[in-house]
Amino acid sequence: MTAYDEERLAKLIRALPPAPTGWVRAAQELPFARGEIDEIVGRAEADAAFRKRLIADLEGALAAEGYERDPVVLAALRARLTAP
Amino acid sequence: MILGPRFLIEAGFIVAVAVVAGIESVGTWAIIGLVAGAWLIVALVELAVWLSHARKPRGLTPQGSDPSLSRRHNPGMASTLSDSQLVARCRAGDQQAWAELVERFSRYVYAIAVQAFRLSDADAEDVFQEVFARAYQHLDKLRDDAAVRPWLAQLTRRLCIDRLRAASRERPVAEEELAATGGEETLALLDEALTVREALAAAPEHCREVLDRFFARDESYKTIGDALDLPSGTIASRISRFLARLREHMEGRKMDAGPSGDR
Repeated sequence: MTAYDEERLAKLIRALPPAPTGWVRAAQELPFARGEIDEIVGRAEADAAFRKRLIADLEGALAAEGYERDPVVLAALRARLTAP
Repeated sequence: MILGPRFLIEAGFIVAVAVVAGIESVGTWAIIGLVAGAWLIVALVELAVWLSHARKPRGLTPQGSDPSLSRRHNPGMASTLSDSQLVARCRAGDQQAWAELVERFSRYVYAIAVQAFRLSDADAEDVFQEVFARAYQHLDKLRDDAAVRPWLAQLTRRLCIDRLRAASRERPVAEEELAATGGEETLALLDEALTVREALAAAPEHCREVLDRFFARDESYKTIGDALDLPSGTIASRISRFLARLREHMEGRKMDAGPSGDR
């Protein structure tokens, strides 16, 4: 038995099933969502109250402002707003 | 700057103006004036073209079709670029390279979240998107482009742990349960699995496709046969043969393009 017998290779290939297609596409579209993300971050930088609402409840604050729930935008905003 | 068709048209235009001016027997200064006017028009066209390029959004802007990345739409496929080459292209603003980077590491990030940390689908999706959002934002800070893989792994682990800690504040979780997640053994397995996957990416497409469909996508012989237009009775033997080739490759021997008649 070697380190890479067929059984082990099969196990290793099986260990990485594809991520859901929608997740992958959303992450790939990150560059296209950049305009909206920059706009929201810009508003948050200019408006301390808005920034506070975003940090307290990101989804709620965005919904209250009329933004659609987009996982890409939400994830990017979390990353930007919590960045040191 | 490359002198393309536009340059030839513009140069031809100036010459034509000069010739017409000569035929009309106008004075020297009139010819100079006409040519200068033509040159001004050309300069304005060039300026307009330059401004239209300059107005494109900064950051990840399209770089046109790149043959080396043309396989990005192939599911489960990776281009022949190394990790560091891919990161360099992402940093230069190549959207196709970004899509490729996401494709290349999507399974790895997903598996860490779901298998090593056993996150729910909803939490795993949040972590997955946040990993790539942070990667996109902080790619400039990566000191070694070749280290993108451990960097993403570390980022994913950290975000998974944050997510579990947040959940444990809402619903107390036993320390043993937290400790059981993110097991080093599983993480090591996934790391090795990604290495095998990289080796598989270098294999001929039909070989890679059959192995990926059967093992990673859990498809039946019939489904694979239908999808790849192969007799389902030959799938098992192909899997066995391709695994043997992959094994040879992993053991240091070069995987060749495969015997004729495989496909």
